[in-house]
Amino acid sequence: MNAAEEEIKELRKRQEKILTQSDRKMWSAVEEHGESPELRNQARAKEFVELLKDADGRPVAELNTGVSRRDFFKWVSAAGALMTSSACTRRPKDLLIPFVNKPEGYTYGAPVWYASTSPSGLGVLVKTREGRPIKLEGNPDHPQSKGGLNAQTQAEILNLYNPERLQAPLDQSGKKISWSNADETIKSALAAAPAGSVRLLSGDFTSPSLASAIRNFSDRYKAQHTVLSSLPYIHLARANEMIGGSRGIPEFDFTKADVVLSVDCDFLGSWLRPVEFTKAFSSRRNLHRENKDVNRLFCFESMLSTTGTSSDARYSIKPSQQLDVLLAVASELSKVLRFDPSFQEILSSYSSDKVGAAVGIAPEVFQEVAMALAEARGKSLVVAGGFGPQALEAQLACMAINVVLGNIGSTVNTGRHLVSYEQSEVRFQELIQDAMNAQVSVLIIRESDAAYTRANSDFAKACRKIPLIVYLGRETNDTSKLAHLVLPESHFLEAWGDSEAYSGIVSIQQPAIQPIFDSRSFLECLLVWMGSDQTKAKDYVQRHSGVGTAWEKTLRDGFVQRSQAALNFSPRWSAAAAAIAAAPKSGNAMELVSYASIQMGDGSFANNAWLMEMPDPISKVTWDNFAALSPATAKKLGIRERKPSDDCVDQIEIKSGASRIKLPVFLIPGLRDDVVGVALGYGRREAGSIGSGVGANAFALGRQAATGELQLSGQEVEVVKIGEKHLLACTQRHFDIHGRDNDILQRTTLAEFLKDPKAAKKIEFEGESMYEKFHYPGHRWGMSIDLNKCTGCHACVISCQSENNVPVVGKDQVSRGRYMGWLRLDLYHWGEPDNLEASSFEPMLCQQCESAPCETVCPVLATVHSSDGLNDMVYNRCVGTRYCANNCPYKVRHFNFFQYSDALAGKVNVDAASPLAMMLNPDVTVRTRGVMEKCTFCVQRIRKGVDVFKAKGESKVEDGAIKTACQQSCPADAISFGDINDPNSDVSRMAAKAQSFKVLEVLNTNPSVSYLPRVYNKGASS
Amino acid sequence: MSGDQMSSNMKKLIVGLGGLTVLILVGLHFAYGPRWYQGYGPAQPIPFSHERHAGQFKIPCLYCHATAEYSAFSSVPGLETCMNCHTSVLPDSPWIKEVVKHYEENKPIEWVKVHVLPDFVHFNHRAHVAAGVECQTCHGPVEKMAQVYQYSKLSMGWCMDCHRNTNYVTPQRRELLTKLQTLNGGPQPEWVQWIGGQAEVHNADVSCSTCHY
Repeated sequence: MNAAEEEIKELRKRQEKILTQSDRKMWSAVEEHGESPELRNQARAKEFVELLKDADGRPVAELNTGVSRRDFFKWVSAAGALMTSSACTRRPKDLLIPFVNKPEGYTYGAPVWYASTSPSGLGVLVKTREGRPIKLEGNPDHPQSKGGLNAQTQAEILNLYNPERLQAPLDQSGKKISWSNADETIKSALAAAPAGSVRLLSGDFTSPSLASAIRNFSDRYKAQHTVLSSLPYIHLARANEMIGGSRGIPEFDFTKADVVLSVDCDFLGSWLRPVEFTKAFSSRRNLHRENKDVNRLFCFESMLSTTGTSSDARYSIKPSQQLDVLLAVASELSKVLRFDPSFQEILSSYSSDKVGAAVGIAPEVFQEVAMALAEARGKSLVVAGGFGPQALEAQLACMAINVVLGNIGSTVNTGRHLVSYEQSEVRFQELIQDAMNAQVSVLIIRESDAAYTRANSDFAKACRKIPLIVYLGRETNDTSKLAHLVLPESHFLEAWGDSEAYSGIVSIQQPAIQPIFDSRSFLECLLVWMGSDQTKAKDYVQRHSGVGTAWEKTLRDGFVQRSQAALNFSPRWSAAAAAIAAAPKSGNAMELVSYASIQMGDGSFANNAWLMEMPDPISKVTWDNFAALSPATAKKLGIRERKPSDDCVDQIEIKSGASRIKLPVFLIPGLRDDVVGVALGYGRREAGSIGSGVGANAFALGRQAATGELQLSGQEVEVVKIGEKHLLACTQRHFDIHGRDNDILQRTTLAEFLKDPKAAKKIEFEGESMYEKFHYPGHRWGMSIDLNKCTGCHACVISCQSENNVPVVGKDQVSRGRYMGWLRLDLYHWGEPDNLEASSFEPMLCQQCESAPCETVCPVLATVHSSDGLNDMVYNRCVGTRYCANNCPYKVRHFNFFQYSDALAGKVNVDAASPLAMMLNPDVTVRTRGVMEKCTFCVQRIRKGVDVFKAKGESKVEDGAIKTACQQSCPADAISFGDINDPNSDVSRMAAKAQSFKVLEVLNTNPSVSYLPRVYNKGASS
Repeated sequence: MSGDQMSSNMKKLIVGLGGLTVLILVGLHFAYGPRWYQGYGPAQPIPFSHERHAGQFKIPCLYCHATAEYSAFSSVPGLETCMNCHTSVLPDSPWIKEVVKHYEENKPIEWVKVHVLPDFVHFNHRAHVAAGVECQTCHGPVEKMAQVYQYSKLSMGWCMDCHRNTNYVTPQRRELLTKLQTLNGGPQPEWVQWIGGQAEVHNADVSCSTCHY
């Protein structure tokens, strides 16, 4: 044996030792926790899932084309012969058609950027190429969102080009009519309507111009406007009115909060303004940037959320225990701080011992939370969310604690407030009553799917008594089916508008493209119906957004700041105390947790294929919602544990009162045994070819609480197993992470970290390579990802999809393990499934290894190393052997099995005539069938960026000038990217930290992506 | 005829046919195979002469193809660019009248494309212009072409030859190097480093992702 072989053997031994010394503490799927060796072997045997099995265990046919294999080959050879004979002809004549007059400021092939605003009030920059918006990015100058964007706003590009948008006004029979016909019908109905019988119904909106137009319209036609928030957030505004004296939701300033207590409040994922909150929250998690002043998040929640996985300590409750938890914390606080006597009285019956025993949480937990809050007086924040039975009382308790902690004016900024979310459900019920009593003659509905989100109400029945219902929206839905006139609404990138999500900051919604279809915005419609002209919309916005004279500058910046009134806040204890004393008590029954998921929200994005296929952050399930149960409850119901060979899972029926829905079971860790979690937003009947009939509608289990408001969570439900099975398409079903733990994800506690930054590092591995070191003459691109900041919001995933023309493959293909997303967020847990110790996300993308295992096995050199450290993927050279994907230890390569780019999810055709073709990024090749694809650090952006600097005559790119798509969208600023050849670049400094680690370092692949460990702030003691 | 004989005849036939097929394929390759369309120069709807404009009147390339300096693509100018001169130059020529007609009717002229690269190649004009590559290096003596034709092969091998053999020097650095050369009779390595460059000037990048992504 020669020396080299000896050396390799030695290296092997060291690797083995590191791999086997791990104590297998980490797991990703519930079933994987404490699994048997047989199960593990079974999983290893089935590492590459190919055969998809139906509920009875029979394989599901790949494609039902009706063509046999033999016939296929016959035709292929015939076609091949024909092709060779035709390939000898001259190339087809291609034309160059220039402009007659080139538009000013436009350069062919160069993007033009516009500042605009999303309907939810996030500042966006719209990248247009040849007049087509192709990408949305956060506006870094925007004072609130500061460059962050969420997955839903990223996916708005797909909504813009969706061929299933309404394309012209339709009458009741679905026949196309002209706008002038529609206007005439509406105007004459409005003129003939008796006073007070015209009604407007819309979802939440934040536009001051639209509000003003609605006021004008209402004055003119004696109309009444009802806002129906699909998700009930009314309690916040009302609680502030009861306890503070003025209605409105104050700004929650997470930048100032040292300690945060969240009770069922997913503020990093779906609650109110998650992008702004994430931006602020993560700015206090800069431990790896030498800022030791990190925040601490306590989380009590009934469903595992991204806020829960980002927390430093998490406890499971059920929805009806929100108030118990808050009051137990308050009663502990009252030992050191003074509450009002009326409040003190209530607290006496909520001692931590008593609540602890009822909730099943140790009383010391409440003491610890209270102590941490008390120590951070004036710099702490208590928030509650969810749609439970005590929604109002929990908000009251929150505000009371915030008042006592002195947080009003600091973390609860009453100087600025959130606009909208203030209308009560009662108004909607009144509308239904009036319609029933035949007092409504014209109902104009704008983008509100009341027939779906209020499936239990009499809305549909009441609509039958209204003579004229006009629906204005981008696509059809359950509500538009009730309308007599269905009008196409312009996308926000096609029309003028504005938004004031936070009082005093008006963002301008600037169109970036002419309406693609024959559509109008709501503002334009109102102007026309008031006798004005739709071309006046821009003037109207300019006049009512309070911009003043600096219009051009405002358009360039995207927003303007104006003066605003502060919320009045003077605590009124007695009313709040009385309300809390009368709050519904928690019971012992099984309770439902309905939650807004990051991808679907309230369901308005159900026809968006990107979001439908986006893996649910917690479960990684795509194309479905599911009943989330704890393992113990599932066992009790007789649900068979999922095996690696299972594609289908058992279904259960959830009954609440007279309503029932059917859902497949998915085990989620960190749930109490007496809750069942269901995501809202699924189960729409009319949501185009993507969203129709996917999942079940959890709104149908909602009920009207005693206050008249909608209660979606915490109602008593009955759960029974039914005989049926359902196919769930899940993207993370490892079952086996090969016993690895510390070399995948490193974590520690703050106290340990401060003692030794390398505390998380249990492995030290210095690899040697058989290969020669690469020489990088110029740049070497690298990335560093801060696991302390990543919240798992998936904005990066959709941003990547939009930037890189990543196809949507559909449920069948996802179940076969063919999900194409280039970037995924793995979620790992520690502890027991019923007693979660900790969880952490880990973004996983191509690691651009220096000694890349994929490169050495490619027989055609389609994946090779570039001179600037990228692992190039040459699509036109790839012949599809898939050796590279098999050899990739990170599993970040995705094979295009079919011509996925030809159709969205195999359902919505994409050809040259389809508007969807205009959405594609022209800088990125649209991959064909039979080609491997993967992340290349947005190489098109790198090439453009380098080009700019070379043209200026500079040899190096300025640090931070090139941003990858994932990095740009990240609301948590978790990703830094740049030149790791330059020791002064941000990414080099992050990668050079002692605590920085690389995933599977022992494999000696030497990735260009490094990670910074997750550090849990457990306080000074531990 | 015995079975052995038949099979031997069959063998001969198969070998013969096989050989013939190969010969035909080779012949077809040479007759119709890829020639990279070198020399392809289709007639244009308006017989615009580069010989006249660029050769005789010495109008700079970038006057019309301005985006080559700012964008990956070198675009064909809009008709307004033609009208900059032709409102007063030769307004009575029948071809110019045709151009004016298109301009007034707001109807673009449909030029026939000469240089076509496959979609999987991302060629960048701006990078080449910035590096000081002359237009003629790839497009040939356009100033002598009455009807533009494809001068170069535009194959990958042709690209690579240039990328492997050419030293990339930015115009600014070239200027400084020339200055140094004239002042001191040749650049000193440390001086080159001092002006922010590398002593060894590296070749144009030949990584796959330079063009393919």
